[in-house]
Amino acid sequence: MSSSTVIDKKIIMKRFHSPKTVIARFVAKRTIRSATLWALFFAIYVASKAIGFVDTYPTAVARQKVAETFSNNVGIELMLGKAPRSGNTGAYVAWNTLAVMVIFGSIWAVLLAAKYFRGEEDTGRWELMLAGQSTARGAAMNNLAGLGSSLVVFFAILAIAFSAIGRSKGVDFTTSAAMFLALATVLGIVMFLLIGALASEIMPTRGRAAAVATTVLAISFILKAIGDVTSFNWAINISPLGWVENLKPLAGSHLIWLVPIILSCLILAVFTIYVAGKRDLGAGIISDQDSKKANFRLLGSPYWANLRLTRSNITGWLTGITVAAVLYGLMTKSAAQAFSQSKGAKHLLNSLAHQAQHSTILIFLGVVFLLQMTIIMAYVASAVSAARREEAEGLLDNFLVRPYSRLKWIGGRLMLIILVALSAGALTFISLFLATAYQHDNIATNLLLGACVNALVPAAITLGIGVLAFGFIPRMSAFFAYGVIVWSFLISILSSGISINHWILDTSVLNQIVLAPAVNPNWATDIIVLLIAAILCLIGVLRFNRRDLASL
Amino acid sequence: MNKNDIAIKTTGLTKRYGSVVALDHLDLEVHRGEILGYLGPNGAGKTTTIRSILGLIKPTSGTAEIFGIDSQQNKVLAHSRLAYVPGESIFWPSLTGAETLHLLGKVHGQIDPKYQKELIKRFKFEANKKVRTYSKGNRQKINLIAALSTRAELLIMDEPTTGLDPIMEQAFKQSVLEAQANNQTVFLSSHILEEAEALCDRVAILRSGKLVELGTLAQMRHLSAVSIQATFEGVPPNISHIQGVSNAIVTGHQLSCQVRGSIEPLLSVLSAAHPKTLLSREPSLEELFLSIYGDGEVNQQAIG
Ligand SMILES: Nc1ncnc2c1ncn2[C@@H]1O[C@H](COP(=O)(O)OP(=O)(O)O)[C@@H](O)[C@H]1O
Ligand SMILES: [Mg+2]
Repeated sequence: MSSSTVIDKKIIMKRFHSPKTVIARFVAKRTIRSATLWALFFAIYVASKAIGFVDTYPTAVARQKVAETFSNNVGIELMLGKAPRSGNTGAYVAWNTLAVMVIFGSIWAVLLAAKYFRGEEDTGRWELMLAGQSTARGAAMNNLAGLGSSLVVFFAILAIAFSAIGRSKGVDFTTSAAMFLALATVLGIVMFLLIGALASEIMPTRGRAAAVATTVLAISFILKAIGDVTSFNWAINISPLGWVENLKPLAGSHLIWLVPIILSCLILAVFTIYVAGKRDLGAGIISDQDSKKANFRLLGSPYWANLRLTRSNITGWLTGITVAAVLYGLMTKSAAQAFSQSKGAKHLLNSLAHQAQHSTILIFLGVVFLLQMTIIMAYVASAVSAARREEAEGLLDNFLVRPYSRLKWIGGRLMLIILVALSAGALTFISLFLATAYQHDNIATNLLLGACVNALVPAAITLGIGVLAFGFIPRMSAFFAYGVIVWSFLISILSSGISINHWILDTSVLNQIVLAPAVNPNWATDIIVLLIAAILCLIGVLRFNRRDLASL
Repeated sequence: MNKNDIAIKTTGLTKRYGSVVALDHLDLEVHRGEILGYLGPNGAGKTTTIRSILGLIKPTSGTAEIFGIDSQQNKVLAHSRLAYVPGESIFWPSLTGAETLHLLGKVHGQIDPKYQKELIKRFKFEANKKVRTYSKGNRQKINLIAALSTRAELLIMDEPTTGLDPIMEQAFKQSVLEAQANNQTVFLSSHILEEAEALCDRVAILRSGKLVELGTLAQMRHLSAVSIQATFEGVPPNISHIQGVSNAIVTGHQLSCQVRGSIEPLLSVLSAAHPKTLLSREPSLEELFLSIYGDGEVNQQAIG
């Protein structure tokens, strides 16, 4: 080619419209899809509950009867809150779905907030945008606006869906009631989104921000649970999740509880924006020391280094698991008493544990173990994701370019994860044992121990599937590891409303694992699940040993 | 040659990503004690080569050996003979520089602590700060110091001076020459030609995954073009059609180009246009690069 190129002196710049809102639009664009998906899922969930209820209990008498039963099931009330006394379909549906939607939605919102308020910054992308136009405060406002607009879409979908459900035959609740249910759901989620945002401004890293916000969520859940099942009813009124429960949509609608919710949202938003302007980019208000004397403890090998680098994280998980177990343990007596005094005790019909000998405490403990089981699964999923993140960011390269084998690295990782999970089981056992012994509940030790072992099985399968994904599709490791939990819950939640093909039901780990100690653990199933988990791990490890390291 | 005298040997080393051939049948030998420059523009396949040699990625076909050890089959043993400096240094933000160096040394298995201290001084490295506070260049220093202080027989470096300031680049050059004096072998991937020119005994040039040149700088010069610069009273003549001419650039009254093979046809055109000045010299590596990669691309640019 021998053409002559002449460069024109006129320079034409591309201008982007309204640079002041560029981050907001960027964030909105990237979050609107997951908001839509969650909203659609919640809509299906509520619809399945409503239709299921109307189908199963077609007459008003039957509904009244079942309402009494529910209002006496302390395990279910621990999770969902005080059951409505009336057999009104709307009240039942709202009670049955609101807590679940707010908790799942809040976890999503917290992760989203940490991602946009912290993650983009941790990876340096924000600096590019800030260098362009905005101030840190402007960026925070932009972020809030972006996430806010996704939540507006979220609200709109819920409002429309709930109104449609309310109009369907037999369900019958008004459009304004449906809007209120949607509003209660969204406001609960917004509160935790803002808690996540503020934590992101205060904490030095994205991981810690998410941890702090999730801890607040866990504490509000426990406070609310205490208020719901013990005589410390006031505990509900100091928990953000409790405020949402107190709104009682479709069952009286107590508008007054909008006041603390909206007020705390405003305060959190103002604080977030204020703090954003107060700190240096990337520093956080609570920052670590930047310079210190070297401490070579636990830096002799990758295995110990991993322990040192994750010890505060592990301590956090184990503390959370122990505190939860102690609190639940201390609730057993009072929950059992509240139950035995109720007149509906005789009607007890528990769909979760129908083949059990119905000792109330055991049923209650069954639900407690379900919650502990979930937290341990979540730990395992987070640990698998962390291993993958270490590879993606290139930290793993530092070991593998040196004389250190991949098998040793992944083996060390797995060993630590298993040790922490076992410790979590042991701490749960000890806490519940001491707490129930202290109240003279007379729970047989072997029952508790069996339930603890049983509760670790789902964690094993989470690990197996996570490691398998890590071996074959590393970029999807986190998706699959957390997916095991979400999928199992989706199936369990949906199957309680609509009938689901038993093949699909069988894919849910929670469907395989019984709620010990309410039911005797099915050890044969447990062993098979453990074996499958071990094989999946092994295949994943061997594949990882031979595959390309993959960056982000 | 004895197996132990060949530090790196690749045979038909190939890496494909779907339809992209990142590395195409690379046959290369790096001799013990030499500094080999591995040059190529971005995306040529330098990093792919190094990651395949290290066993971080699995080649589609072909083998790589480190001192005769197959580096895919026996990674740990192969790695015990080498130290590696990547182009991008990523470390744990909450550890300090000193702590990171300690950990990396432990994983390698042995270091020369006295030399490490000397390197910390030479690179003006502030080891007591947390990694999160370091700039890119400071993080790069950790990898340089960690690798050099192992005194490994083979140093593999992938654009190691990214982010270093000119003074630190000087310190880097000194350290590489020290390593060579210590009978270590250096495989230096770079796109900074001046660096390669100053350090390397031989250079290999990679283009789109293929090895296009391999030899000493002297050999390459012989193979390649001569640089010509000329100035004229009026408009320089059009030379782009002349056999062997490449990279012709006209700036006002000045013309510069490279020519391969016989320079007679060019000289006759130039002298017919009555040049005011005429300068010919051996090309720098930079110009060598352009004459290799310029082919088929833009040969003449007029800026006016
Ligand atoms: N993981 C990957 N997936 C797909 N293509 C890749 C991947 N890694 C590298 N490539 C491609 O391989 C080629 C060589 O890349 P690289 O070795 O990084 O070049 P260099 O280090 O010389 O700049 C480039 O075209 C790049 O896009
Ligand atoms: Mg590269």
